[in-house]
This record gives sequence, C-alpha cells and structure tokens, in this order.
Amino acid sequence: MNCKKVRGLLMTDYVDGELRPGIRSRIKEHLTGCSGCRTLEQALQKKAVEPFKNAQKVQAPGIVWEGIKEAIAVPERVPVFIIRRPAFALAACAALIFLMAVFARPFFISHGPVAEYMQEQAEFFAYLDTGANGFMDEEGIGLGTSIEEYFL
Amino acid sequence: MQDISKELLTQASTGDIQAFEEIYRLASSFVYSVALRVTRNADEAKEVSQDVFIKIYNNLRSFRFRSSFKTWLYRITTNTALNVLKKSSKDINRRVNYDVALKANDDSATATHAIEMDDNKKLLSSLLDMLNPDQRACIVLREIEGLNYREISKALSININTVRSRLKRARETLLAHGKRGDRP
Repeated sequence: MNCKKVRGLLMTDYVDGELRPGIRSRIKEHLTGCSGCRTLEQALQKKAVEPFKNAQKVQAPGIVWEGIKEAIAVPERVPVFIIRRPAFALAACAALIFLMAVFARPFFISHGPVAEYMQEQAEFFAYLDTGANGFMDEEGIGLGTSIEEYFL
Repeated sequence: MQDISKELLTQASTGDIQAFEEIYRLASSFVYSVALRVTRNADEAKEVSQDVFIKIYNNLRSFRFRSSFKTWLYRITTNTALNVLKKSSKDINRRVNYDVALKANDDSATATHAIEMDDNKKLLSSLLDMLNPDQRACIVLREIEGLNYREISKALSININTVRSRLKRARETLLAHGKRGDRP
C-alpha cells in the first residue's frame, strides 16, 4: 500500500473505525515503517479528532419544552374537507350529476313552466286536428293561422 | 442518544402528551446539541429544537417503522438546522451567542474543571468555525454524536462517499489551521 492511499484512508475510514480488520492491520504495518504517514496520523489525532472527544453534552433549556407544549396543545388546524383523491372525487361528482339528470327528468317534464307550455301546445294541436276552429277547407286541411290563409 | 421503544412511540402517536414528553427527555439533548453546533446560535438552536419536536409530534401518527426512529430524528434535526442556518443572516453575533449557551450549561462545574472545560470549549468552537455548514454537520454527527458513515449518509441524504469526502476536507482544513498555529 502506497503513502497516497494510506493518507487518504487515514483521514477518513481509519480514524473513524470504518475499515475491515485486514486493511486496518496493513495500514498499521505501513505506519511502523513510514515516518511521514506516522507524523500525519499523530497530527490528525491531536488536531482534528481528540478535541471533539471531550465535547460536553448540552441540555436543551427548559423554555424549549414549554414552547413545544404550547404548540402541541393547540390542535393542528385540519381543513374541513380534504380531497385526498381528486380524480376519484371528480368521477363521483360526474356520476352524481348524471344520476340526478336521469332520475329527476320525469319530475321536470311533468311539472314546471316548460311542462305547462308543452301541454298547452299539445292541446292546441289537438284542437286544430278536430276541426273545431272552423278553418278547415274541403279536403280537411286546417287553416288555423292567417299565414296559411295568405298562401292559399 | 438513548434508545426509544416502539411502545413509547406508538403511545405518543395517539396524542399521549406524557409519552411524548418522555421521548423529548430521551432525545432533546441530541437534537439541541446538533442544532447548537450546526447553527452556532443559541436562539436558533432553540427554534430548531422546537420545530423538530413539533414536526415529530404532528407526523408520529404516519410513522410506519419502515426505518428506525433514530434515523428519522437525525434527518429531521440536521435538515432543520441546516435550513435555519442557510436562511439566517445573524453571522455576526453567532459565535458570542454560542459561547453564552455553552456557558449556561456548566454552572455546577468546579473552578479547575471549569477552566479546562472553558479551554476545550474555545478550541471546539474555533474548530467548528473553520468549517462550512455541510462539513460541520458531518463532523458534529461523526465526532460528537458518534454516528457511523451509514447513519450520517441517511441523516443528510447523501452518498457514503460524499460523507467521506466532506470529512476528509473538514480534517484537512483543521490540520491546515493547526499547522498555521493560529488556534487559540
């Protein structure tokens, strides 16, 4: 193992204990015979690894939990109506409108102003057919309107 | 960080505040420590810690134990801390605020021990100051919190080789600084 490779591993996997035992022992062997790499390893331990080993544990101040407690005591605002699957909701709405159209059709046909108008028209044409209006010619063709009279 | 049992997590996920407080007790030191060392600002560390635990509380119901809770916590903590740091423009007061926060933690220390601790704190503080936020997060997770490469890569959502290269660059920076002899 050459110095370049050893130095690369020293800076990372070696000091962090991430190496397989075989490779680790080969590096140790290299360090016994190479003063340059040994110096680097010692400097690394002293200046970049050991200072962190004595890092004190810090505790969160009490105010942190107070803030959390306050925040979670207020229930999270949940939207009243959540559409989780928009495509499904759209299809359901379309189906509902279709069903309303199909089932409500008889109701709208038999009631309301449109139905009344249609009824009046039907009665009027029936009235024309009976000849009761007095505008029938000899062949029985109705002359119920002034337009018909004009053309004839 | 201490282990948190599945039972406790399940209990807290139903809205049990006492169970959640127990989770806070077990994990808050880790969360606050990482937040303080990454952001280098006590106010932001408090803000990050609160955000992290509120996120956990609100999302615990949907946690399915597919990954470990620790990994989830590491990820939320580091992401929140790094995001707050990136948004922040309080760099001028950061160092002072950080030292005040650490000082508040060792009121009970004896005089001699306090001096030693003070020296170490200053050293640690100056070392962390030299690193960029990404390198700092890696060093804090590895050296102070003792996470392995795999855990760091999951926490930061980066490749293991990126963890290696960030740690390598961070250590090169620390060594270069040590050689110049301008360390306190």
